[in-house]
Amino acid sequence: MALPEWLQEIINFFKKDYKVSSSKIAKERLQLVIVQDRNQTNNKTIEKLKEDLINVISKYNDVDVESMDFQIKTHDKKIALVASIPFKASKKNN
Amino acid sequence: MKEEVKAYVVTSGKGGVGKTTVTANIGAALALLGYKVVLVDADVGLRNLDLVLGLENKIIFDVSDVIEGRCRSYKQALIKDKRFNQGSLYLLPAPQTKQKEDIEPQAFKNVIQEIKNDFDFIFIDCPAGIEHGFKMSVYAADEAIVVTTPDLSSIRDADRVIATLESLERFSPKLVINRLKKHMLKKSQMLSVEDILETLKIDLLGIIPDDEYITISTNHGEPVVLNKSKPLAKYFINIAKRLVDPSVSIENPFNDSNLIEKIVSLVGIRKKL
Repeated sequence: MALPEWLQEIINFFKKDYKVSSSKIAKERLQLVIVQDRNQTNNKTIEKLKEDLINVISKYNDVDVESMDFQIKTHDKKIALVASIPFKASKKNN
Repeated sequence: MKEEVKAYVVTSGKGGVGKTTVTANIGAALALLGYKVVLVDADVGLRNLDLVLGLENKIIFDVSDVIEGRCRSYKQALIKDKRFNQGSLYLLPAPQTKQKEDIEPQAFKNVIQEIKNDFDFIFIDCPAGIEHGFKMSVYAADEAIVVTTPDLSSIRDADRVIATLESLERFSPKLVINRLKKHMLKKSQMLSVEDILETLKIDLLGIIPDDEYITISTNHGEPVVLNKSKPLAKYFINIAKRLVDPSVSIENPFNDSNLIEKIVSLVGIRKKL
């Protein structure tokens, strides 16, 4: 037989799992997935930006794509692109 | 001189979070406050704002008739809600037999621009999703209101919508949290207002508690705010007031209970000791 709701609540109160709030679990899961969502869209843009930059710079000098370093850094709510784009030892240089 | 009239897009990403009901009631609340308001249904092919407002039997022209020149002016397509006297509330319906892609964003925006000359507030009820209908609504708007419920999937989609809006660099979207359930909050079974704001990091416009009366008022095709004795009405009126004057403070349905809860929890701790 089903217990009245108020009685169930009293029983629940003394059960351990009742005290672990599901909203806390929800918040943790949500924030994790949102960070992933945000990163994914960022990564797409960064990849495109990276390609474009290589194309532009390659017009003037050969880029050493292998040893490129490309990062988006956040600082004080501002986002900055920090890139190191080494040239290949080039014949064009004189 | 008249202050610059703004068109607000009401959006959410996820469907079924109460966008249309929120749009209808904020608009109705502003009309009650004496403003001239137009609600534009942008959900082409799946219109519902007419139904929520109880104006579904009065539609003759819709927004595509305006764009394609089948009516003399946009005014011919407007449906007046006669329950409002001081201010006024009008609906510009969406076409029901068209595809979203059939409407050209620039043409839609032109209609909105024209309405601005004659009214105080314009709200665009945006379709769910982030495709054509969303882009068109956003393109025509100056401000954005994002509606979410405390559900994970709704908040996650709201985050995507907010990111899209912010990437356009001309919006600072405001949040309406809809259907907050007091009894679940009390047991920490639902994300709180603070949790949601911390996650989405945008400004809060208002909070609407969960209330079965919203179903009843939709059954009748009557905005909740017309029934001022209902507790729900004041939350929509609060949002309307905050749109007029941002310094008006937020009506928080949980303030009073917080105090009681604190006392109860103190008693609870005592009992354990």
